[in-house]
Amino acid sequence: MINGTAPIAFAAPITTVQHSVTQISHNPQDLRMLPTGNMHDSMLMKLLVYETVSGRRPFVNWFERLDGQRQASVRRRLRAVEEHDHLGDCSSLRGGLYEMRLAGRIGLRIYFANIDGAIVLLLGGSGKSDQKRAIERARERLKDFQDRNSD
Amino acid sequence: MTKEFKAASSWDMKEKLYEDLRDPSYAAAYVNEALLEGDEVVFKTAVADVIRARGVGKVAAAAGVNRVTVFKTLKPETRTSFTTYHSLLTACGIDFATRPIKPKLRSRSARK
Repeated sequence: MINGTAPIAFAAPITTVQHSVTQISHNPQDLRMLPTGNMHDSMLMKLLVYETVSGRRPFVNWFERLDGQRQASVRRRLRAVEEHDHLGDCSSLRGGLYEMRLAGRIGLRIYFANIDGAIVLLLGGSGKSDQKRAIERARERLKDFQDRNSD
Repeated sequence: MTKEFKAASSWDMKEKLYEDLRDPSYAAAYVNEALLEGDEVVFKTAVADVIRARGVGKVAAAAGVNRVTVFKTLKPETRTSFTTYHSLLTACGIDFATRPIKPKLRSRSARK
């Protein structure tokens, strides 16, 4: 920190640097406190998909392998997030990772993180059977995202 | 918020979705999936998506309502009546349908 004699002008750039570190919310309540649909469009959360170093997008790959009906069920939930910030049935998996539970027999799950309260970062998805591995992978991807954005 | 992130990119889901929704059978499946969720905001979003994909003017005319009211009634904070949903979906060429499922029993007394 700067000592008391330093000019005040120096204070501003330093705080900006501190804020530029990506904040990943660890509190499930944060998700519910976010602005809802009646706010202006610019306040709405944006959907982003995680990208590997080689430019692969695991969430999109997963989505494209699903059949039409399952794609429709993923789409309707993500559209509600996009249009109204409505996350619906979600639960925390700790460490900033969340899962969105989709209704239906298949038990689809979407794994995501809430970045700076403004972005929903889609990390992956799974059915009920491959859930364990998918969660591990989503965790690795979130860690990679944090590492690559930490400078 | 214009901050750029590494390791992430935007994904345009809407354009492809609207293309698919022009197919009436996909639109019906999409709304059905939204009904299944049992969440009104999800359902409203889906209905609004179908209406936009079909063309707001066309749907409004077929339902006999003002095109401005169409989206007012589909805001999450508005309580949309069954009649509204019914007339809008009918105008889109979609019907409500039910099918039998095994009910989930939530309360203890219901299991007895």
